[in-house]
Order: sequence, then C-alpha cells, then structure tokens
Amino acid sequence: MSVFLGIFTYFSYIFILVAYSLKIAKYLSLPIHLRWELYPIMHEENYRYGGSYYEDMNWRTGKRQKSLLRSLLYLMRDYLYMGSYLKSHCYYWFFLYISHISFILLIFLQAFIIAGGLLSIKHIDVSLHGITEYIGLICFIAGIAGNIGLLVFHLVKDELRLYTSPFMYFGYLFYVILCLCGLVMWLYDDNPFLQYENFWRGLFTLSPVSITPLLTCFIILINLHLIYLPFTRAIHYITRLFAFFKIRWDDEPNIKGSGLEKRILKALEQKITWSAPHIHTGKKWNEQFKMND
Amino acid sequence: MKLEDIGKDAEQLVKIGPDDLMPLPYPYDKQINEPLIKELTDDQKTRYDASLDGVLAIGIPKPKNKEDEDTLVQRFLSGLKKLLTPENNWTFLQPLYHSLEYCVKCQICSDSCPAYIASGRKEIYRPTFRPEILRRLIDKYIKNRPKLLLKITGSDIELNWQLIARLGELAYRCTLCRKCAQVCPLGIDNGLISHEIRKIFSQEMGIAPKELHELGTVQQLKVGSSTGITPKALANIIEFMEEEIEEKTGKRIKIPVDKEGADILLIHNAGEFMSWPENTMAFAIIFDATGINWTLSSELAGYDAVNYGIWYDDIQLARIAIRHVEIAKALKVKKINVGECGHAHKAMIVVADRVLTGDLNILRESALPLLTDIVLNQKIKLDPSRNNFPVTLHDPCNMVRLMGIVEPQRQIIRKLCPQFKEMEPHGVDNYCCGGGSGFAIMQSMNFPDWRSVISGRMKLKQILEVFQDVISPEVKKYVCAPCSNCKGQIRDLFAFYNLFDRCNIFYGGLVELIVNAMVDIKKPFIEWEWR
Repeated sequence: MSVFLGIFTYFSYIFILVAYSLKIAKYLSLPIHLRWELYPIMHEENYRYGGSYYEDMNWRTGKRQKSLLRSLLYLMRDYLYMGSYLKSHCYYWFFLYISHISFILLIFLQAFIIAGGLLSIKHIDVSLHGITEYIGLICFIAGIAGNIGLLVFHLVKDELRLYTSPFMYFGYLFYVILCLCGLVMWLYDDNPFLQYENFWRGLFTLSPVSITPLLTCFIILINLHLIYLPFTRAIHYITRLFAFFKIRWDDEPNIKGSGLEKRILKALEQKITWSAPHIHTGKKWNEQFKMND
Repeated sequence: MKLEDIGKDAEQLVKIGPDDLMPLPYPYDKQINEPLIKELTDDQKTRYDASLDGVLAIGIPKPKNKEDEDTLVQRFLSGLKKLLTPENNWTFLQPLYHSLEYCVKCQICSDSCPAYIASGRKEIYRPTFRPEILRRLIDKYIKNRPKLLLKITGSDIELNWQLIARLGELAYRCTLCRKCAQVCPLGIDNGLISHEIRKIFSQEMGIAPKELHELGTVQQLKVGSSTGITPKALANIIEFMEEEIEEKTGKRIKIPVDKEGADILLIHNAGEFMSWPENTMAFAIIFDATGINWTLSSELAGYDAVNYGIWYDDIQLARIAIRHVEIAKALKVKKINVGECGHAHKAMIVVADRVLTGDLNILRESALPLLTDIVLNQKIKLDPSRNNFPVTLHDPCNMVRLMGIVEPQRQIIRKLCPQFKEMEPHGVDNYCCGGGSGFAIMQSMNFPDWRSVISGRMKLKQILEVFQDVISPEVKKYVCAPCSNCKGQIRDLFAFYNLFDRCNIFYGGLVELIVNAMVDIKKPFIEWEWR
C-alpha cells in the first residue's frame, strides 16, 4: 500500500503540474488580438473614474503613467475578499468565500507539509505543526460548510441550477468528502500532520513509511483531487490574471516599428478560409482589405 | 425553461407580456399608458423564423426543405470550427477562448444586463445563456466529446436549424454594451460571445441584418456612406449647412472640404448630416471661431465615420478602417478627429489600432478633448446662463466604458450647464441607450419596438428618474448624448413613448450646447423643435 500510495502521490502531483502547464502554455500561445479593453483600467492614471490616455490631447507624445503595482494590488484585494460577489449577493458570497478560503488553506497546508517533510531530511525542525493544525482545522470546517452551502444554492436557485452540470455537483460533494475525511483524521489520529510530513520525507528519501488508515484515505483523496482539478475551471485563479493583463487591461497602442506591430504584420499574413460571399476565401488578411466586393 | 429548449419545436419560446416588464417612473408608472411590441403579421411569421421571442432583427428565412435545413446546420458548424482557429480568428481568439473556458456560471453578471432586467428576467436574455449554448455546441460538435462525458458535463444539446435560427436572432438581443463583462471578477466577456456568434453568421453563412451589411458596410464602401449620401449629395448638404449657419447665426463660414495639409480631418457619422445637421454645423462654427486648420473629406467613406463592421464582421471592420486612414494619408493631414459618434471612436481609434500598420498608422483622436480645451481655456466666449435648463448626460458605451473618455464631456457640461445633473449610474458604470451594436439603425419589422420596450427601457427609466423633480412639460429639459447612434435610439425611444410632448424632454449633442452658449450668436442655437 505504501509503495502504491507513494507512486500515486508522485503521479498526481506531476499530473497537475503538467496539465496546468499545458493549459497555461496554450493560453499564452494564442495569437495577438484586436484591442478589446474595458474601463476602468487599473494601471491608468485616471483609474478612479475609468479615464484613459485618450482623454489627453497629447497622449501620443506625452509620457504615460502606468502603475503595475496598483493593478496587482487590485487583483490581490479581490482575491482576498471577492468584493464583486459581496456587493451583489452577500449570502452566496459567504459560502463562496469560505469555500475559497478552504481551498487556499489546503494549498498552504500541502506546502507546509511538503516543506516540513523536505526540511526534516536535513533534521531542520521549523515547528510548523502548530500552524498546520490550525490551518487544517479551518480548511476542513470552511470547506465542508462552504461547499455544502454552494451545493444547496445551486440546487435551490433556478438561475444556478439551470447551468450546473452533474460534474459541478460532484465537485462540491467531492470536496466535502475530502474535508470530512480530513476533519475525522484531525479529530481521531495522533499528530496526523506530523505523520503526513513523515510520509513526504519517506517519499523524498524513497523509504516508504507506514501511516494510519485515515491518513491513507486523506492522501488518496488529496491525490484524486489533484487529478480532478485540471478537468475543472479551478485554474481561474491563474487565468484571471491573464484575462485582466492580456485582454481587459491591454490598452497598449500600436506604434510604428514596435514589436507589437511586427506581431500584427505576421497575423495579417495568414490566409482566411471564411466563405461568405463578401470574403475572398484563401486570400490573406492584408489582401482582403484591398478587395471590397 | 431549460437551455436545450432552444432547439425544441415550439411556435415561440418566450412571450413578453406587459406584466413582465420592469416598471417605469411617473408618468409611465401605469402600464395602461404604455405601447407594447407589435405582433408580426402572418406573412412575416410564415416567411421568417420568429420562434425565439416573436421579434425579428435579422429575419432568417425558414428553410424550404430538409436539404435547406441541413445546409444551414453544416454552414453553421463550418463557421464555428473556423471561429476557433488562429488563422481565421486571430482577432479575437484569446478573449473568446478565455470566456468559453473559464466562466463558472455564477450569474453575477445577470443583474447588470439592461435587456435581461427590463424584460422581467427572461432566461433567453440572460448574459450567460448564449455563451452556454455555444459552449455546449463546441463540446459536442467540434470537440466531439463522447455521449457519457457530455451528460456528465451537462453539454448534451441537439443541433438543428431551429436552434441556429434562434441563436442568430439571439445574438441580436445583446447590445454589446459589455456591462456584464465589467462586473465579472474572472474577466469573462459574454458580450464578446454575442459578437463572435454574429461573426459566424456573417463571415461564413453570409447572414447579417440588412442595415448593418448590405445597407451598412457594403454601401459605405461602394457609395460612400451607409446613409446613401454620395459625394455629390454631400456637396449639396455642405452648401445647405453654410446657408443655415448664416441664417441661424449671421456668420458666413466656408466649410473646408478636401483641404490638403490641414491639421485635422474631421469625420462625422454621416447620420448627423441627414438627421442632425445642427451638430455638424456646430462643429464648423466652433472650429471656425477658434481658427483651427481643419477639413472634411468628400472621398467615398471619408465623410462617414461609421464602421458597422465592429459589430458583426472583422473583415468589413478592417476594410472600412483602412479606407478612412488612406483618405487621411492622401490628404496629408496631421490627424483624424472623430466627431460625436461612439462606435466610430471605438472602431477607428481603438479596435482597428491593431490592423493599421506602417504608414497607415495615422494619429486618430476623439474630438472631445479638443472641445474641452477650447471651452476650458476660453478660446471662445461663452455664457453658461444661456444653457440654464436641466441637462443630463448620457454616456455612450463605446466612448466611455470601452474607451475611457469620461471626463472631457463632463468638464464642458459642468462649465456650461448650471443645472447639470448626472444620471445614476453614470460614467463607466452607465447603462446602454438600448441602441448599441447597430440596434439604433435596425428597422426590421417589429425590432424597433423591441429596442424601445426592452433594450432601451433602462435608459428611459434613468432619464425619467433624473428629471423626476422637474418632469412637468412646463420645464424644458435636455439629454446630451454625444453619439449619433445613441441619439438615434433616444429619438426613437422618445417618439415611441411620446416623451417630448408629455414631459418636454429634448435631446441633442454636446457641441450644440457649446454653440448655444456662444455670446456672439444672438439667437439660441438649440431650437427645441421635435423633428
């Protein structure tokens, strides 16, 4: 069991890393697009009321003030309290918020456990157990309450039920089961997170250690969850950044001779296969522009 | 209703009754006073598929036989496939990919959609409805996912000609105002999905509203303007404008046309020449008074800033944008200034920025900052007391939320209109006038009724609310809309509800307010006559 669990654990972590990397690579490899920004744009000087550099008559010659820090802080603030939901649906927000808190804490828990396991090889005790105990408890309780709340919302509210697939319901239930298992383990096992750290040390040193049945169940569920995640939209934590920086806030003007212009010129060299009567199928984009009939 | 109902056999999926509609303030708070959407005639119902909501924007003819039905399906699928390829859709693939892949369907966007709210929350108008249909079609027919997986992921949907006809119509029940996108914390843009569905219909199937394509972009490139104004007709209009200016103001102004080497090529929405010549006249008066070195163009499409391609077809968008800058290049002007037209701003200055390369990348700007400079720096003498009536400002989505020109128009109005009052919400949080994305010019069958009753209802509510304390017809009131299409929609909206007679609410552009305040013009420039 221990050897199998070790291989399974390695596999699940590698699986999510590869799957997410592929997803991110696909996103970032998509071609340059036409401008489609939406205001307010946080890096702009007049972000408070949503103003752009086009309000300035001398925008082309003047120096633009852009603040990357402000953009990052805005996104971070929304990560932390999800204000858009709070403003519009406060009850839904509560359950959504605590379920997200649980998810973030689960990531932290994993990180601390793995770090603890790694450091213990070198006999470095950073005394993370106290922290992981609390992180684990909050994560499990918030996860159970949040996901049950969301499940109920999606069953009861018409506008949510209509758009919720069996796979999404499964996701809520799965997370509840994972957290329930974690909570039971927390309540009944001795030092479960220390055992979990030892398990990881065993993985790093290729010397499997024996663990309790409850921890075994928990690790299996965690591994399954890692494999399950790439099939969900959970990566929106990351893609959201791209959506804001590469689409919604992308107000970069096209300047003659710039790198941006080179990318545009390359895009215009592609041949179109659209076949409506007003389009010259098989011609390049830049050839279409000269053909108006 | 369920999402898969969009393909089911039914005479009409959704009916909108008077009790469904969002209530309006006084004096439209009693529904008995309110006009409704006209029923289509039996002939129209027989010829076109109106089974979505009993309204026709495009008017897709019903297939005559099974072969026609299959052709429609095949062409749609072919277009859908192309929409997802970089060579055919590099223009919007990344934003489309994001919105298709990462929406969590939390419905936070629903309450921001004026059409959805105004209709009494009809499911088909919910911002997430169309995208979800498209997503399911892609899963099943493009990604070819197995049946079991489709069931688990809730993506099972049957594609038939009826679904396609309804989806095509449904893409024209969204004004592309993108307020839904603005509130989405994950950056999902459901407005964009409507835009992309329109592209499948236009770029692959050759289906688009006549007013946008045949009478719009095609006519503009061939005849010179989507209004049908030819260069010869333009010359007559300019002559008329010069006479009118002299009659109204006593000023003799020669409007410059095709002046080589001018600093500014001013391009108006040609709808202004036809319906609101006082707007183009006001520009001429202001530019003349300030000594700006400017010109109009009489070249084909050079006197019409509109670019309807932005709403339904990337190729037509690029063709028109390139035509505009080629004219500016030939005239050797320093820059193009766009008059009071929201979508022309967005198309020419922002969206087309990434098709204009090399020498075609001529400076393109909004006229509003220039006007602000003139007014705030007192380059002409102005007397605000001449505009001493209640004024509110409508924010055109294309110019404000989608382009970030928010303050210049406000600075002018604050300076010149002592009784200025903002609508709520305003600025980048504004509501669409209801005529966005081409709706204002689409006159097909009973569609104008739909845009008055449904898509324009929120704007009507805002206008009535802002003037509620002076709603009596004894007080004249002005809605400033610095955009031709918004003005067209507001004109139709006011006419539909008889707002001018009942409440004495008038509408017009921004430059009219400036000229109305000019001290060296004796008579009021704004005439308060309903036309």
